Amino acid sequence: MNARARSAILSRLRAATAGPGLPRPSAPVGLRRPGRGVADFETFAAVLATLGPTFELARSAEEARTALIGTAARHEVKTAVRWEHPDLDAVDAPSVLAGAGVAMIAPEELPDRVCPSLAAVDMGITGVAYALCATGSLILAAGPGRERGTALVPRLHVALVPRSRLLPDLPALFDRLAGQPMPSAVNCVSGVSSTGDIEFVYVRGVHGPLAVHVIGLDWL
Amino acid sequence: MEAFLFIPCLVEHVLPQVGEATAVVLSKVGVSPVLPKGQTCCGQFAYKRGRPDLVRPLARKFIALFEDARAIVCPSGSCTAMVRRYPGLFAEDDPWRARAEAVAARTFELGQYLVDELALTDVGARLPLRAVLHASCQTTRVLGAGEQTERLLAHVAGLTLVPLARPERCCGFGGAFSVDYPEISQAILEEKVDDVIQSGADAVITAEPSCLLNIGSALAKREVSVRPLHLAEVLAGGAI
Amino acid sequence: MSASKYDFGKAAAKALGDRESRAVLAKAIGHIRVLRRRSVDAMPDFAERRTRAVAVREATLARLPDLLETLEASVTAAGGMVHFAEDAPSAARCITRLLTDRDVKLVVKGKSMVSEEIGLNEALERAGIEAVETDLGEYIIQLAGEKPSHILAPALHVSKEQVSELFDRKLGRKSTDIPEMTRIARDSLRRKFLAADAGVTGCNIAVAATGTVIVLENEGNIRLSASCPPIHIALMSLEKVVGTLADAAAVLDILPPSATGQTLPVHLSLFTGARREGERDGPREMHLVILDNGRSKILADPLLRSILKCIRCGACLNVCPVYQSVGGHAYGSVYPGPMGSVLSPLLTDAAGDARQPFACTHCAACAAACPAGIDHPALLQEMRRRLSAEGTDAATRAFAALARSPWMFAGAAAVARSADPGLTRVAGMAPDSPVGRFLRGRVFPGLSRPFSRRFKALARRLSRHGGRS
Repeated sequence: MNARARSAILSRLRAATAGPGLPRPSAPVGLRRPGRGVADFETFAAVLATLGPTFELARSAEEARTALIGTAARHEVKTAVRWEHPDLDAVDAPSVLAGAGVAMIAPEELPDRVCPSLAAVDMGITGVAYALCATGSLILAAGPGRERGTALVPRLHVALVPRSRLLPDLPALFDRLAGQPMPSAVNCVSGVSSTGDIEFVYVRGVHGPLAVHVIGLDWL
Repeated sequence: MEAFLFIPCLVEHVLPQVGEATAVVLSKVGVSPVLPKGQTCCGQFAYKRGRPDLVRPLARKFIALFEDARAIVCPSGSCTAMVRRYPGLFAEDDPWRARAEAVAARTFELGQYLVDELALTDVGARLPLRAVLHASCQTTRVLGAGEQTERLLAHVAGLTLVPLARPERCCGFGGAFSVDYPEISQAILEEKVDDVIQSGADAVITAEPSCLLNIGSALAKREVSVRPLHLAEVLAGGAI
Repeated sequence: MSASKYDFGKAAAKALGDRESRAVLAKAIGHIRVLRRRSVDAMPDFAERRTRAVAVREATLARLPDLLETLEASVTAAGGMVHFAEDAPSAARCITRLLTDRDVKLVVKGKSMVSEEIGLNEALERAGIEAVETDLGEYIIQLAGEKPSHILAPALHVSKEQVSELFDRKLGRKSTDIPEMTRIARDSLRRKFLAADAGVTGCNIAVAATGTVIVLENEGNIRLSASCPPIHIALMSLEKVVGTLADAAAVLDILPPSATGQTLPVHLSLFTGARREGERDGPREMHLVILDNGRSKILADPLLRSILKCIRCGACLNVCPVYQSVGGHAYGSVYPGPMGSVLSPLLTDAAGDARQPFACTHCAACAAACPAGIDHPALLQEMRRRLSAEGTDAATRAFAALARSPWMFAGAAAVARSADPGLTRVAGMAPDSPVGRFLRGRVFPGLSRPFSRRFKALARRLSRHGGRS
């Protein structure tokens, strides 16, 4: 049944586009907006501040470890789920947090249905694929050991962002993505989940995490 | 120098003072106004009702009437825009099409004529008033002649333009719309009138006769003493 | 175009009589206006961005069948399945069957106008599947048993008092504080996200080269709907596809600012196929349903096809004085406002008023705001022309006939002027006639001694006093 619909639709579309008079693109397609080209923590942090997430810059692994412990304490984190990610390893995140009394869940410990198991978990800690300076965005790419639910279900999302992963803007990200096979999910997260659906009064903290904290890793 | 007056039917029969003011303004700047006999209507009401076929005979009459004019000046953006559509009413190979193109190219809304054709922004007008400008949709967005109105008003001595809330918002007339959907037309009009009153201005200026009629008649209904003025009347202010 | 008995004029008049709704709507439109002023109105390169977006959308229409085939191949290569649906019932059937075959009992839904178009929730309900709207605005109207009134802000017409009353009645939770009400909704919906067997979302842009479905949102409910359950169904109308990621970037440069005044939404998600080998979450099955419902016919229509460039930003609704006055429900169809006035009558199972194109003041605010370069006034004009082939009202024909003869035209005016210069007698005798309706809120200045009769004397006076002042 679907095959019949498919061929009927496609043949109608072919007939429709065969004739003359179709709008020819008025400008060369594929031209992109020239990006600002700036990719530094100053820019990134300034935009981030307007969107709701909090930010701190760690200049060394030691500072990053202190930041992690501080974040967990500030948000009263008892349980956390993490990604498997080199940037987490670079600061020993799993053991540092465990040492601070946080019960850590590693990817391989996750059950079959991941999201429901994270319902009562306080924090999800991830790395990023990139971060965009113009829009204060975190780019999360799904993969083995990089679960979607980790940055989505717990009430707090903590992301480690090394300087080397900063990009200027979205077109720059899309340039990078175009060259490789697409992950099953790429999430560009700019701020804290919000809504204005009731009388345009903006409320932060709707369905995604209620809080987002970004730790910049200046030396990486 | 001469220019032919293209007088919208609304001006001919309801707002003749707009026609008079237009003639006065042209005379002020050294252009003799000529009024060809036999004008009726540009046909936009039928066009917008979906009957371009009913407009064709009117277009032919217009073309024949104005063909000899070096310039055709109209105190209405909507009527000027309609004449600019005349060429498209005729088939590519129809001789009327080329004739329509020639006439349309010489037809100008008043502000366009003064600013673009005569390179004038100061016509020596004087009108000491606080006024708002209702930027008619047809003049600004459809014809693209909003800037000319503004530049002309900027040089009227004694005239203070105060801000109007939502200046680009429609007055709700829309021709047949006002009688086909009277409640919506009324609702949109009320908001425009509210904005005009809120501005604290003594007068509301527009370059479009139908907006002038619409807003003016609503102000009259509410017995508000804000003067509705056409651009031509403002520019004629201070003349003989 | 399908015939319809729906009367927009009547619905509009009724909506205008509801002062409370008008106040809520006015407040919402005011907010949107502020957002626009800060975003698109303040954007120095809006024109350039629009040029690029228009080029992308025009390229889409020119290559639509190829793009859809490429999209299908790319989605399939990424482990997804593509389904084509000719019309609303078959699309709803396809999705329902997909879900019942897999024993799905609970579906979480992200906002999708196409799912409204196909009546999906009703179809799922008939099949005994619980479908929960998770976009807060959609959730509110679902609880209220209503339809969305705006394509982006479905509960734009609902006041916070109404939401409070609704939550009290349906959820047993009482509050008038907006943040708290939002928290109530979050708690209530969380359970659904985590327990759902399937998630159904819309699709803002589909990228053919990569097989990617792009969705934009601020709340995070689409992300949750597409990521938590083991099945993800994305629903799109066939014109939503673009060629490459670079093309999508061009649209994304202009869609969030035109829609919500943002540079980017909080969540911009790119979903490509099902979970990969070794991934522990994400859907095991991903389906893309592509809906026609009359669009292939629109594409074949050279004069109307440009409506398919629409990117559903809602800008035209927001600036339309008619929409601003009556709100979305009065249109009686899924897509209201200027783009809806063009699209709805042309869809296969069109709802709403077939004569919707006449309910327009020709102000062209829509065309000025449209980031996809659609000339709604020209499209509506063409639709009016086609509708008029079925006949025009007597008044228009009579006026046109009079206008062909200068002496008859002048004569008729003279007669009217002597008989009833203020038109008050006509209005009094026939209050529902065109004249009567016009004069309801207006004081007519009256038919005057014609300008042409005054001109000779005026011209003499002007030539006597010289040209310059």
